[in-house]
Amino acid sequence: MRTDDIDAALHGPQDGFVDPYAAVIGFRRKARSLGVKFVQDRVVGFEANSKMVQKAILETGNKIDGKVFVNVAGAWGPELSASIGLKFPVEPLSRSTFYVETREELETMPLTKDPSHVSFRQEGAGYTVGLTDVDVPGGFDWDVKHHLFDDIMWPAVAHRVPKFESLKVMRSWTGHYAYNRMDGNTIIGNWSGGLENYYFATGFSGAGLQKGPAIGRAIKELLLDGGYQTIDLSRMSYQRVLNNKPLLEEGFSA
Amino acid sequence: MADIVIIGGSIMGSSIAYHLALAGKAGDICVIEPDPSYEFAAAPRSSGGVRLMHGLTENIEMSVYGQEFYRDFANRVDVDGQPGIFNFLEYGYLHLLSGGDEVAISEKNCVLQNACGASNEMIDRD
Repeated sequence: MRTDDIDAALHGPQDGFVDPYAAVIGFRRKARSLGVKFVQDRVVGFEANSKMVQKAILETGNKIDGKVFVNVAGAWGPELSASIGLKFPVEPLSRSTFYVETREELETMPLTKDPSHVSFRQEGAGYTVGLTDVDVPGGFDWDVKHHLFDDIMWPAVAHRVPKFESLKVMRSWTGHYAYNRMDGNTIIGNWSGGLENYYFATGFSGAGLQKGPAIGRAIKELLLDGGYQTIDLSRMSYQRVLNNKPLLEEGFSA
Repeated sequence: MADIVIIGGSIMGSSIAYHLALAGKAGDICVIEPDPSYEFAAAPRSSGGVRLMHGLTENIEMSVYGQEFYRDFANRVDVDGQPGIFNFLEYGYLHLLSGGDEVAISEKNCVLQNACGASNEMIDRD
């Protein structure tokens, strides 16, 4: 790895990654085995009085009554919240990822984040290479940005690790961050002062998978235990959006 | 009718359902998910990173729990005594830094991360 243009590095030896699909399926499979009902449908709106959400309206036309509603619909969530008057500074942000293989085998490397903001990590027999371009308009965009790979990502990784010069793109895809334009951070809690039985967790901005276990526990604490018991997430409530007080974080970002 | 209606069943909705179910609320929950194979959901299209490299205490602590959880995930999501198939690939993270400002921020973050349980280190260029 070339380091002559690097001043220093931060190394996190305990860090790593998981198969994110297996994480989702594992949680779901266990929850279902314990008796949780999963319904295939899309929530398109709500019925509410002045204090509470009463029903979720489904795409199929059905309605479902509830005492508490928790919007964790990711990049799709903020638009749904806006339909009942709760506005989040969160929007879908398209990100392209490329799976590449190289002619010569590379040595084992940590997930590396380059000063160019390009990151790469091992994936099976090859590597995935990603770049988050926050300077594009928000919204769903499923087109893979091949020009970003050719113009920025490939030159950056080949500069850092010369064996990447011989890479071949095997696969590419897009996904969407629920990107918090205000401060890149989680917004979690209930709609205090509004429809108070409406809860949400959004704005993960690319760091959701790693926070999934903690957010599951946090929402459970809010609903059953009367407030946070383990990690205090009160600084991450909606109040900072109302106050327009960003909770900024410097350093590594997704 | 469900006491708790969860909108979205990907990583967040499924984790919330899991944590509530373990607290005895399984029968009170309904998770509504339009894409049960998660073809378009964000999580499966992500790189699946779990890092303590954050700059806010809350985010570091959430990932400390995330790492602890995912290291033991196969056992925690067992069904009928059958563990899931799951690996936490502990290859490490390396954030390459260019310029004094970036270095100073990471030095400060490294202290915060280690106060929350990380054993991160700043590496000089060799």
